[in-house]
Amino acid sequence: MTALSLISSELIHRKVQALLMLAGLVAVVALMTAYLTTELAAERETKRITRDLGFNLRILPRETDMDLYWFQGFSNQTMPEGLIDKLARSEGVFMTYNHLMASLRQSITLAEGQAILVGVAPTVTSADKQKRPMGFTIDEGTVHLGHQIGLRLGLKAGDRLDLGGQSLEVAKVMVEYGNQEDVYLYTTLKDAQVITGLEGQINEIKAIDCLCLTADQDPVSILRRELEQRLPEAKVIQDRVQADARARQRQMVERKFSFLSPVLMIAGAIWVAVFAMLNVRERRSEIGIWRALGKGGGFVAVLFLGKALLLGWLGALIGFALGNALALSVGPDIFQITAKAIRTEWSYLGWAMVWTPMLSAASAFIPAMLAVSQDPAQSLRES
Amino acid sequence: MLKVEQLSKHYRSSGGQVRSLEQIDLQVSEGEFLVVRGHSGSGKTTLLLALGAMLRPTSGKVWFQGKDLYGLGSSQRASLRATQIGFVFQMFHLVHYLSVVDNVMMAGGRSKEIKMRAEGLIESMGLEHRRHHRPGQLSAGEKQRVALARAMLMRPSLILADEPTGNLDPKHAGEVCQHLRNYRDEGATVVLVTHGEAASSHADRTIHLEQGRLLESPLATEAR
Repeated sequence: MTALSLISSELIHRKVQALLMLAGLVAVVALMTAYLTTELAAERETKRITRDLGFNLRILPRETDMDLYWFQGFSNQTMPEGLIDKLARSEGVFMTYNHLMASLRQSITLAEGQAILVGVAPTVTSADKQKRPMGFTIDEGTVHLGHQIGLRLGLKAGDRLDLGGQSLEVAKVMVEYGNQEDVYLYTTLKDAQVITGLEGQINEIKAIDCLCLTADQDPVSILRRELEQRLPEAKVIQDRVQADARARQRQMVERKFSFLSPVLMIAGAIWVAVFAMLNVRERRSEIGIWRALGKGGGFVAVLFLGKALLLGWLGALIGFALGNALALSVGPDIFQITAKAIRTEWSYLGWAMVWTPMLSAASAFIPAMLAVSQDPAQSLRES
Repeated sequence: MLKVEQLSKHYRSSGGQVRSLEQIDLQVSEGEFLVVRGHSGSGKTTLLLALGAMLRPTSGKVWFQGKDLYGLGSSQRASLRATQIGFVFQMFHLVHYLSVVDNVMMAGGRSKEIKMRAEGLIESMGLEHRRHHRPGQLSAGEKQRVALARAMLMRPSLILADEPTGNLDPKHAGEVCQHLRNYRDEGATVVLVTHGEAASSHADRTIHLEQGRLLESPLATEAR
């Protein structure tokens, strides 16, 4: 008989014990798979939520008068539009920044009141990460009016508005945000540059901080040091409250996983080890007789470790299927924003097929060694 | 075939040192059927395990076919057990999850020749109708015959039997002894330890063991 057929026969003979051992492995793999699959959704959802918090970095012309900036809401200086490309091309920039968006902001007088004209360029993201653009899309020749401006001008979508000699179509009047955006007019960067006579100029690049460090980890110093090298013409400020909230949320998700996965693994390993130990005790007479028949310790070890490996593979397959079913049935209810993104992650099957047998064999290693080192004469006498 | 010189085996236990065997000298000739008799705890099983390269003695030597058994490495001893020595135990020690034929074949490989030999032994033991049964489905006598067939599979030159009739009724005990006697008639050596008297009628010689020592003549050695 081959070792495999001996293992299979023994598994069938002690099926309750084998099923309990398998159940432990299946539970670990199923929980890990379900957890990881939904964790991806949680991560996507966290990213979406934190991204929707908005940009938390502002890159401004170096000479910006910050007193005036905080008073009027935009820089009194400008910088060449080409700087965004220079920044985007600098090596490793998207490790620190993401969703770079150039804009030109200027104060304008409109219907006997003040407003802020914001010309925005499409967001620039890392080419290899295929990030979705943030915010809304503005077509050339159109304008999006802040809620208050819409009320002041009495305009609605489809109407036209003349600005600095440019005739723009009102694409929409935005809902009331309850902040300064209610007095903003959004156009494309190009239209804003024409209207303000500042062709080729911008005065702000907004971005999202990718460092995800909390305030106590002093991300601003890192960001400033990096920008000094990449873009000496500019300086960076961080919306500390927003960036901190984002970093804390992201770190919480990562820590949760790094805590839970070892706990699951250790619990599974103990479970398997207990049953492997029981198995060795039950099979003392068998071990003794194998040794009496001249089989070496290696053969006995193969019987026990082989069984653990076989159960590991089985546990990986069943656990993966079960974990997926769990994630696909429960996940969409929990993660409603990214529900459609919850899908079978086949790469986890590969990992499960490698790690579960290893976990199982490692757990059975001590019992197997115990079986090998057992004195066969003693086993035969006592059993 | 077998020569034992000043063999002693001592154990440490919670109650102090146990002298299981004390300075045993013994010689077993090739083709001999030797019965070792003694009460429970007299050291019979310890002697048998020491003769079978399974239990290193505290002192003394065991020579098997001119080789000092405990001067050999463990893999060489394992190799001897696999090819030259067959064991039969009172408790049968069959593997519960294997069929009769697989239990018999445990001792050998998977070759066609071994399979045929196993089938032949099963038939000679009158177990052909049981060949696919598991040990749990067999009577005690049948189990012991399976264990005998397993011990004989590799055609060892020495069979060591530890109380092989201890769990059997007189009829089955007689059958087992007869099988061992037949095997000895084919030229092998058999050493059987027992506390009963029945096996002695099949033996060439019976010796007595008491408290780890061989008793002197006339009780120690009874030639048949």
